[in-house]
Amino acid sequence: MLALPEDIELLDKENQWIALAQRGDQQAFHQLYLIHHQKIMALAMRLAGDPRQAEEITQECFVRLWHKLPSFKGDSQFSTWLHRLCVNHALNMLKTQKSLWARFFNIDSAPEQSYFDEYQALDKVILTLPERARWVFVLHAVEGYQHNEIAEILKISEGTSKAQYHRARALLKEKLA
Amino acid sequence: MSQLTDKQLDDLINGLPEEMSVSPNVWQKVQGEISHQPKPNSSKWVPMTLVASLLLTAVLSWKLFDHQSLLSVPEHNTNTAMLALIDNVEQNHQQQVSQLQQTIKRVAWQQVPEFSPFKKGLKELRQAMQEVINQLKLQPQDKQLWDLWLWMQQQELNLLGQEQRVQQIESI
Amino acid sequence: MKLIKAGILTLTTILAPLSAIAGQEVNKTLDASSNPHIDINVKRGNVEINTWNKNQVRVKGSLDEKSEGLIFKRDGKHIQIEDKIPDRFNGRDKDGSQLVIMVPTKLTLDAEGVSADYQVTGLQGEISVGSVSGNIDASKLTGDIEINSVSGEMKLKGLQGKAKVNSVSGDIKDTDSKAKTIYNLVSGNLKAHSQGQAIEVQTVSGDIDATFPKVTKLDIKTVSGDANIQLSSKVEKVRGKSVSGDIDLHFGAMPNLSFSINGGPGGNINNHLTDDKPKRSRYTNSESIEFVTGSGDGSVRMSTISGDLSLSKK
Repeated sequence: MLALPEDIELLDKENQWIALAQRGDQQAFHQLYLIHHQKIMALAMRLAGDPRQAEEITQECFVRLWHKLPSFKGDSQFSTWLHRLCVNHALNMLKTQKSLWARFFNIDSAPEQSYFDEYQALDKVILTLPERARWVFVLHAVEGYQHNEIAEILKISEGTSKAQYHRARALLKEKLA
Repeated sequence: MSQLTDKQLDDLINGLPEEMSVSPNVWQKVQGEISHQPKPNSSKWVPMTLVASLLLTAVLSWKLFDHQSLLSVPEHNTNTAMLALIDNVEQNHQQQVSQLQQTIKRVAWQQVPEFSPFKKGLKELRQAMQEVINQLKLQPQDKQLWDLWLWMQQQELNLLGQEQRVQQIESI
Repeated sequence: MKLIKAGILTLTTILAPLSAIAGQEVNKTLDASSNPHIDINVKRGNVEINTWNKNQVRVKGSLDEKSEGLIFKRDGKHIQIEDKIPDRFNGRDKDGSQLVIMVPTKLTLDAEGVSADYQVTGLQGEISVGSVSGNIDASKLTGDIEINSVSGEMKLKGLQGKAKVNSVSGDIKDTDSKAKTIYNLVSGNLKAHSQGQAIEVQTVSGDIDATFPKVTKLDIKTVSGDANIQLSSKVEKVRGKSVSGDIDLHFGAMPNLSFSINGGPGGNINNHLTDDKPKRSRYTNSESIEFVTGSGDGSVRMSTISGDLSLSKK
């Protein structure tokens, strides 16, 4: 796939900003934030199911990115690396927040009715999925992770990941009918 | 019962927006945090280690507290294991507490009046937790005591998290 | 005069923040999307938030004596309102902002203050109001509600939907609520009269004085605070845990419940519902009791280490 000249230019700029930000340049870091923050917000929103939490998660992901940036060696695509960092951090935050009880007894709680009319029908229904199924669905169908990767991220078996994914699809097909 | 087809669902998925808008003040908050903390700061959300989680899951599953089955197990063995578990859980909790406390700037914080409700609350909580641990060591198989102790640990972590949050709000 | 912190880009359109002289009067209105996300940050003073039937947001009143400017801007569905004052300041509220903010009825709200008092009425949606030492008056709120204070007093009235109320040392007064509620207190006291059906109360040393006539599910956890709770026969499930605090449950009419109460090594069980008396266990030296009232459909499980657990009718 040929990269357009504008893409190459942007990529070059991004590499420059990464290098500067790694040395502590906050303005360069801000540029990186501007490029990526809305994608991270979409990810956070779909994982958390709650806009307030999603913003907190987005905020925390970028703070974490700032601290982890020196460890980015350029051996993978920055956007992929950033994305994976945010997925891990978001899920850590969401898992810790759940009360001790819910976590150990694996209580799936579907979040309450969302108040946001702007979101597409599918997004609104995704928010109503039980948490585990939603996470697997978002990571696989929306963000493109494979089941073996999801198994590693969520610390579940590949089989469970596939099962949760199919459960999510079945629920969505029914709710959207 | 009507349902979407797989193709219809896939089409909807492909149509999902890749980006969502964010409040302008999120960047301000990010910038605030990276300016205030020059040292790499571990997340204020402290995840439990996998080992501790597994141990606790075993404790909280009802099987371990089924009195009938306990009577057939040599009491000495179960008790020793449980006492070791109490120490493990206590250690893990204290680790989480000190991680959270590291992020709280002690000196400046203690000068402000907002500190005292937290100081009082944490003191009371910690004293009571010691009571509970003492009781738990006498009755290591009492599920109610375990429940109570774990809840109190969560309250302590919540309070420390709140302290940190208030510091941020007050720009200490 | 600094309007924006260096390095922050305002992402899109709309008004630059007002440059203003401290203590200055303001009266500014912005159009809003339907169901806007509104962020309000006023460190000290008084903020009143009311609703109106317009897709607009109006900020009216006077700014803080130390104000560096009012930020009032919109970016799509986000609206930001902030009376910017220097980081270190005295919590002298009379020098603080005095604002009345009109907002659309349906919205997402995130309001935050340090010593600022907030009065919020009539909102519907996802609402979060927090002040460190300020007092919060919240009434007729519907939706997903969160009220936070460290040492401020909270007066809540007519909440509906789902509510989480958190306090460290401030007292909470909650009346006429229909919301499913979680109260979290450390040393503050709770006085509640709520029609909520599912209620959870957690306290360290704060005392609880509550009437919950419609509650079906109740969960109480206390370290040393005492809880005195009036219930009805509608109760289906109660879980109560205490370290040294007393829990006193009063049932308006004889309920249909199975009771399992553990008095712990130092606790006391007082059963005034039936003639059943607690027994002392050989293994643990603690009092415990199990009995049934009415059809015994629901369940009550309570335990303590050294508190008193009492059950009575009225």
